[in-house]
Amino acid sequence: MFAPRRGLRCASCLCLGLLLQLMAASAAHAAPAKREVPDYDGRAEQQTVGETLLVIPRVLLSPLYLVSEYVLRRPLGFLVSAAERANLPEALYDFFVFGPNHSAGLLPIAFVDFGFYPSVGLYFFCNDAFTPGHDLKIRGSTWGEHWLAGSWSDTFHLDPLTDLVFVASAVRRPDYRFYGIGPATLEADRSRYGASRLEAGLQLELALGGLNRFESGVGVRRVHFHRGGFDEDPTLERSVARQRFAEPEGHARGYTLLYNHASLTLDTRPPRPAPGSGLRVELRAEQLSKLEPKASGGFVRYGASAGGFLDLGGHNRVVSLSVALSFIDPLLPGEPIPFTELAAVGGGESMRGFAPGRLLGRSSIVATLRYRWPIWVWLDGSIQLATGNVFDAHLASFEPALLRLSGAIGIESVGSRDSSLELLIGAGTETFQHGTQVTSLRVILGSNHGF
Amino acid sequence: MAFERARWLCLLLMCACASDPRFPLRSALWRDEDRRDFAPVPAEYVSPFAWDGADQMVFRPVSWFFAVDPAARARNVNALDEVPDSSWFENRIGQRPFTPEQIVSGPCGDNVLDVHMPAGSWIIDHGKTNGANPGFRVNIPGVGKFMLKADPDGEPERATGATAIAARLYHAAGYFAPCDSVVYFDPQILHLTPGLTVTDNTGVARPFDQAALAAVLDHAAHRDGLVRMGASRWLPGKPLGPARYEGTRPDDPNDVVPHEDRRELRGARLMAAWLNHFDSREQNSMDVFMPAADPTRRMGHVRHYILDLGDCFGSVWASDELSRRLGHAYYLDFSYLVLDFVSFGTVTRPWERAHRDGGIFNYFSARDFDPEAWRGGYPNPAFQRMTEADGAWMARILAHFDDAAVAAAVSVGQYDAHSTQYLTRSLITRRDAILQRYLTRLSPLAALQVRGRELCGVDLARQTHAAQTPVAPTARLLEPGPARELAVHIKENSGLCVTVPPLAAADPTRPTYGIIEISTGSSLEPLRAHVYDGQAKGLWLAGIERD
Repeated sequence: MFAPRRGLRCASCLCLGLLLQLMAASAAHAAPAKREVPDYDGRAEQQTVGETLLVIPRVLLSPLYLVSEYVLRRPLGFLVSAAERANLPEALYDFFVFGPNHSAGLLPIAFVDFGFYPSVGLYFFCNDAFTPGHDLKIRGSTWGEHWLAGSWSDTFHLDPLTDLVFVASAVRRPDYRFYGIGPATLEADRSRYGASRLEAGLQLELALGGLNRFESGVGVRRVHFHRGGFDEDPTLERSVARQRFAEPEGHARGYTLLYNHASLTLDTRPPRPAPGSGLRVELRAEQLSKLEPKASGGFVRYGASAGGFLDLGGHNRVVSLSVALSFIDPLLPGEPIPFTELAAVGGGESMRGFAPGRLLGRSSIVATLRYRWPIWVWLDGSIQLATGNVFDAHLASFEPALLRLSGAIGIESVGSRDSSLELLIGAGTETFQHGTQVTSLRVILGSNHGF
Repeated sequence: MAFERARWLCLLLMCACASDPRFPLRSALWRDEDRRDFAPVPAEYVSPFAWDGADQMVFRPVSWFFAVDPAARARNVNALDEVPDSSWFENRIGQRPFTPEQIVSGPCGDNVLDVHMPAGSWIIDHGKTNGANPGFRVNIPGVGKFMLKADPDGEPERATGATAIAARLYHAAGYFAPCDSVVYFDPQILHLTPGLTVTDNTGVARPFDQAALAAVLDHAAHRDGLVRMGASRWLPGKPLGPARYEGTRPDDPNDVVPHEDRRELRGARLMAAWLNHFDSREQNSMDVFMPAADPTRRMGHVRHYILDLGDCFGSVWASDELSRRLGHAYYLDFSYLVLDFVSFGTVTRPWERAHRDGGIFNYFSARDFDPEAWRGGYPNPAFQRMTEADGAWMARILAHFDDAAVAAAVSVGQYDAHSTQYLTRSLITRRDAILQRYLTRLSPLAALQVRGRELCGVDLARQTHAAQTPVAPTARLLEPGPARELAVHIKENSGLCVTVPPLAAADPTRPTYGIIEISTGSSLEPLRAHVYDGQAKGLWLAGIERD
């Protein structure tokens, strides 16, 4: 039974031996014999006890050394060196970044948010595309046929302070989470649904000097839902059937909205690398009109955030404390609001220890204490602790006992949000009323933020 | 089982301690015979630009970590704790007097570019094909070939002066450096060979004609109507590509000591730190095959050069955040990245205190210069294995660069008075920082020699004022026992002598071996001089131990 295996082993040894002999022979043929190492100081090699004892860790770590040296380093060195000799890096660079002054590029992107499907894709940019002052950005991501996302952005630089931006995006994915609506939803009620979201809009962006800016735009958004799923999580439909929560508004038929929005940001902080102390206030308002299922009614979403930033020592170690409020109200009393348009906490904006969609309500309030510090030329460390939650309309049901805690620590890239990269670990708790147990854990790695 | 283990451990320890630490009765090796001619000519080594960076920053450190091979004593160290002359290094200022004039002539000798030659004497026979600095090659019959390079954009005069100054400092220290000089010339001296073309990094060929030449000359700095460029003499011999800082060259039979264990390459870390030669990677070195005296034999040997020193004294990158880190951290420095992350940035780093107040030298200054913490652009295998003894060896060489020597070297940069003064002052202060660190731990006693019945040397820490609070020197005879104090005599110019009594001879027919421990009072560690005392030879210095 063992004979074939032994034979294989013998043959392998023989081949390896022959190979080594051939290599040695060819090396001996190619290079003249080395001279003896001179006896520089006349003393015999001295080995201390410590040097002798090094044999123990050497033996213990030898498998790792063999792998790192002979499986990784040398083959990689051979391959990369050969690629360099063939000018492959330049070819790759020219493939990914091209055009006059390398003003266009096609870059791979990837994003992993544990608890959701990851995505990979491509990001294309072209500055001064077709005409000077016009930037084009296209992004596409996927994780199979059920997870598709794409976006298109045309930015016209009307003057040094004014941009006109057309944005269109489409996302279809099956792994959105829904836990119910209100401040007291439980992590245990997690369910999954699928959604398709199409959106197109035109936006005017006006730089007001420094980091101050005004933005206003109009657009249309169409959202449809389908049966989703991820891992062993129950679907939203199943949870509804089990009466974990009622079917959320809009889920059955989807909806289409026409929206217009405006926001004003006043920020006294100077751009990096200048010290980052200052104040930031943001006011935003959005009016949304229903086009489907029937063209009547609508909502208004509004909110504000204010924060103070203190640069400790003037080297971009910035402590900030900010408070954000968000509200959504129907224009007609009693008009239901689709659940995906509600005030949300979690995800990419606030209380990052919670996954996107974890907390939904008619209003939200979040206070965040954050510290950000440089760890490399292009990377910052970031740690934040936030408390807040969603509540009924106008924070009507607000109670301190209903607040939750969220913490996150990680690394974020410095600079353009178009190319932001982050590695973040976060956690979120149930409400103080429910004991503040950590029930949400979040790990994010990659880049998929967009314009 | 336990007994077996103990027995093996004892055997191991016995083997470990069985070697004889005595120096033989012979002259110290001052010349490494690694310049023996051989054939065939070694193959050209093309250093992979991207891989070298990735390897040195990530893969090699990981591999070396698992190899558990901490830096031991450098391999090519003679009995007097010095480095023999070789194809890598020749003892110059560290072992013999070196005048400021010798420093200025440096690797060029008398064969310099004459800017007063008749019009059209410098024949341009080659455009410069790549690199950040535009230029061209001139071929001057009877003189040789020189590559002329302008300063990079936004850094007028710095780089051309830096290559000339740093080449002289490296040469005086003992390394093989190119003859780089600053030249001011009238463009009329140039003669462009028609039909030249250059191929850029993307493989596109274009003519190097009058328009291209005019663009290069316009790009260069000017003074009094003359063009300023750096002139680099073509290296002798056949170029073989960069010298590696790791392993040996397989096709060079003379190359038997792993480069990372050569003391002159390990110690070069302090030279690089002194000048902030952060771009001290293998691509900025060159092996050349020096032909034998008899060309018909088609034999020769390899010589190793350090070149492309234009990054010294404050080169900057496009990113200011990166530029201010140069010399303090690697381009991608995982240790600082992790430390700064876990410490929440509570430590203020030197690059955060950096000010661009060095004029044309940007961030180059003596402020916050910590020679022990200095780092190049990315890890250098030999630099990473520099031990205290290697650093002390280089510090003993740098101690011989007195203020006049530094000023002489800086003068070849042909900067204006303010820049000259700033650079000279910065280099002197940085040198002093190196000496204070590396002359005050291991013994700074140098030039130790026997004079009759005395052992005499020079305390470099005292001489250079590197030792802040030196105490009186002492000496003891350790062998043959019993140990006893010896008299120490202070001499002028920080010299000291120890009177050695006749050593008791166990066997009158053989010289007696003795060990004398000398504490200069200016360093933490003493020096142990190993001597023989015999009737015929008298007192004989056989070896030195500093660590």
